[in-house]
This record gives sequence, structure tokens and C-alpha cells, in this order.
Amino acid sequence: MSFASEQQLVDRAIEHLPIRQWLKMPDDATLFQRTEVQGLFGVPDLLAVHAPSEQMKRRRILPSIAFEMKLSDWRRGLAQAFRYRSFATFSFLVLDNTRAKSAVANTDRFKRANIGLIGINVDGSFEVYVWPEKESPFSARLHAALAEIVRNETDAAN
Amino acid sequence: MKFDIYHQAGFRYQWNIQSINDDGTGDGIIIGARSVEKDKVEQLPLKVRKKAIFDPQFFLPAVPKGQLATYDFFPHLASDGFSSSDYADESAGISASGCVAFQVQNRFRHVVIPTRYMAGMPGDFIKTQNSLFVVPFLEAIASQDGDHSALLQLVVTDNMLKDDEYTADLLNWITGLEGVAGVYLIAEHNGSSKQIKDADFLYRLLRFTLALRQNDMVVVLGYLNTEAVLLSLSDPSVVTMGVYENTRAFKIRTFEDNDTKQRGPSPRLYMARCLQWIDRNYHGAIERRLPGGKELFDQNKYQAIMFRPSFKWHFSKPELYKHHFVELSRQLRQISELEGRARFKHVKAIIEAAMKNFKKMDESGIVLDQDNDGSHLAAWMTAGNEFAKDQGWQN
Repeated sequence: MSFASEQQLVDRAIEHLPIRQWLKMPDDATLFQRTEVQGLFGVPDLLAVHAPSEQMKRRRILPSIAFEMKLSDWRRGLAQAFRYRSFATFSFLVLDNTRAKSAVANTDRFKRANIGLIGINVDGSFEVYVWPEKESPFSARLHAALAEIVRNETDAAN
Repeated sequence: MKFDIYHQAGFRYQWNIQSINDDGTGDGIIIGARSVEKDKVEQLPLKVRKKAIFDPQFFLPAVPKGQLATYDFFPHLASDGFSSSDYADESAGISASGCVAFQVQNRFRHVVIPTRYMAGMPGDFIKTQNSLFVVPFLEAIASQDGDHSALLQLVVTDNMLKDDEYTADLLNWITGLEGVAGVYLIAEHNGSSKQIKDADFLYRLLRFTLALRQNDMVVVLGYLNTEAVLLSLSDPSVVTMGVYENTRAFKIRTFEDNDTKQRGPSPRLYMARCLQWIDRNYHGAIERRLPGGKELFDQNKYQAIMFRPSFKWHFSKPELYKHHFVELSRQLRQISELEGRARFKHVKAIIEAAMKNFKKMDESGIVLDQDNDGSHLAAWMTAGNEFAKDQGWQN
């Protein structure tokens, strides 16, 4: 069965992907998680950041994962996910698993770009076809902008 | 023949003038009436005006957008509200006399006969242009003392260029007009990407330009982006380059009243070795992932300023465009020195080198989107090769 809309895919990914685990976050740490984040490079469908605790605020690079979610058109999705590497430490393209065949046949392109590839099913099960290496963001300026967004929103919430 | 490089100026026309004066990046400017008010045009130094071309921008005669409202000869103002049914009989002569007098008094390099924008392939195109502007302007030019070089402005659409019969009719019309020295040609492409990726459109534009040149006409190619490099194959008299995107691609919507303000684009840097403007946000990936990636960034005084850590990148910074003018004009000047087959070989080598650079980026795991990648280059190569084949330059 395929996803009926991109929003359904986003909702299922938020519900089922073990993002805290992937970010290696302790149970008491704050996960900053937002959809459609503006003001960076491109608009990630989902952005998850290990928000720094008071002691960690000086940490140089925030562990973060940006997701682009697509029902199809993996080439476009790969280009969009690549943009997010300018500010995030990991970036993934999440596809409807029933339509991921063509992307899976091109995993070498994902590996070369160091972009993760996930196929997700309507029941929430998923397969990770490419797991990217942790890599510092390409742009210190955009990473600083991300840190600012996280700081402002977590401060406002506290 | 050698060609001149002109700056298609918008409201940042001072940057164009500074770039020409400080860096020798051009031979003159095309002043757009929508962007520069009448008084300010008259106040430009004579040495600038004498090399300039004034574009009256009558494309939409009923819409005096921006500074067009400061020109009393703009059709809507000259006729107290433009109406195409009455205009030719009642007001066309008044508007033409005022516009020609303005161009002659300011001593511009040519006198431009403006055009009305017409979408698609209208059957009454030539008749309309003749009655609204061409005949009245030629009469007004004839009534002026001295010899004045008249340029007929022409906006050709995608559809017009791709129809052999239509372009043949246009060529017959233009080459039959007495007193017209050449054409200020603007080709409107319908594509939504920032570069033209339509090989057929480019090939036909090359052919159309060459046909005009073979009839001994001056051809000014207006509103060009990087494709100026490719279009130089058609032996134009003048190629253009501009600051913002609205001076590098003609879009009629920018002259419409209801044109909505668009969000400012991301700052992009012209990279001559790639024949592409590449978004600032990709630069880090290019520097880090591509071995020797730093060498892809052209070195000049503006690059030195922009790559200082303190530089605040923004699309409205002049350094981006002055850098572009330095690098693109350098490429164009080299091309201009060559002719025919030698010019083609040189242009082909530039395009091939750019394709290789994009291939290297791809192999290094850099994934650029379609407004920043090299996907336009295959279309350029196809158009260039087809045109070269026609000219017998391929062997």
C-alpha cells in the first residue's frame, strides 16, 4: 500500500523513526523537533536537533538530522536533502518504500553525497538503505543560524 | 567581427557605470526607462550618454510602471490613457516625436524604435508594430536634423522563434524597412529555470541573429544571462549583461502593474569556469568536497572582499555583480577577438571545461539543484554544434 499524501508520510516518519536514538541522546535531553523550518537553506520537512543543556551550550556543533520526505522523485529529493547538509550533521531522504526502487538502485549516489536513504511503509515500518557518516555542516554561518533558531525557541519555551 | 559588451541597466545603473569606469567591463549601457527617471537620464555625463542606448520600454503602452511615469512621451501619458484603437491616429506621432527628440538631444548612440509586447504568434504583429511605433518613429527620425542610426526593438517569443514561416516574415519585414540600421533584439524564453536549457530555442536564436547580421544589420542582443557566451557565435554587434535577474532575462510580467513583489533571491556567485551562478550556500561543499575546489572560484578584487569572514552576503551587495561583470566580460572579450570557426572552437572549449567541472563536482558527491548545476550546458552544446554544422565549422 502507498501513502496517499506527503503529509501522511511526514506524520508516519515523525511517529516511527527513532530519532532520539539516532542522535544518541540521553533520556533526559531535550529534542528540538520542527517541521517546515524556514530561514536556512531549503525548507526541511522535518528537522531534529539535540538541543544543548545549560552545560553544553558552548558545544561547537549541534548533532542534528534534517529530513526531506517525498512520495517520489528521488533525484529532486536528493538535491534538497543535500542542501540541508549545509547546516545539519546528518541529512536523509525519506521515500514511500513502495516507490523507492529506483532510488535504491542508485544508492551509490547517496553514499557519494553522504545522504541517508530511508524507505518507509504505511504501517510505520522502515528500511534504512544508506546510513550516512557523521560530518560537520558545510556552512558555519548556516549552522550558527540553526543554533540560533534552536536557542530562541527553547528559551521561549522555558 | 568584434562585438561590444553593453550593460543592461536597471535601477542599479550606477553599479554598471562604476563597473565600466573602474574595471573596463563594458562599452556602454542600455538605460531602461522603467528604472531611471527622465531627469536622472538627462543628468548622466555626456560621455556615458554618447555610448548609451535608451530603451523606452513601451512594451505595455497602457502601463506606466515605475519611472515610466516620468516620461511625458510614454504612450499612456502622451495619449491621456492608451487605447490601441485611437492611438495610431491621434497620439502615436506626438509620442514618437517626443521620444525621438529625447534620444537625439541626449545624444545616445542609436535611436530606438520601441515595440509593443505581443504574446504568442499574433497574426497582426507586423501591422500593429508598424502603425503604433515603426512608421511614426521613422517619420520623427526623418524630421530631425542630421543622420541618426535607428534600431528597431523587437521582442520575439519562444513560439515566434520556433516557427520558420513566422521568423521568415519577421526577417522580410525588418530588412525591408528603410532607415533602420539594426535590431535591438530581445528573446523571451518561457522556461522557469534560471538558465536557458532549451537547445532548439537557442539554436533558432543563433540562426535568427545571424540572418539579421547577414543582411548588414546591427544586432544588439538584450537581456542576456551567461548564454551571451554561446550567442556570440552568431556574430552579434552587441551582447549584454546585467545586475539582477530581471535584467538578465526578459519577462513581461515585470512590466505589469500587478507584478507581485518576489522575495529576494539567495546570493549567488558567478563562477566563470562553470558558466553558472552558484548559490553561496553551496560554496562550503565545493571547497570541502571537491579536491582543488577553491580554484573554481575566480580571483579578483571583489572575490577578495566577498571571501573575507566579515562579509555579509546578500543578493543586493554590489560586489556580487561587479565580480560577475569582471569575469564574464573577460570571457566575452577573449571570444570577441576570434571569428567564425576559431570562435566556435573557443566557445566549445569553455563549455566543455565547464561540463568537466560539474562532472568532477558530481563525482565528489556534490549534489546541486537544477538552478545551480550544469544541466544547461548540454543544451548549449547541442545548439552550438547544430549551428556550427550549418556554418561548416565542425570539420
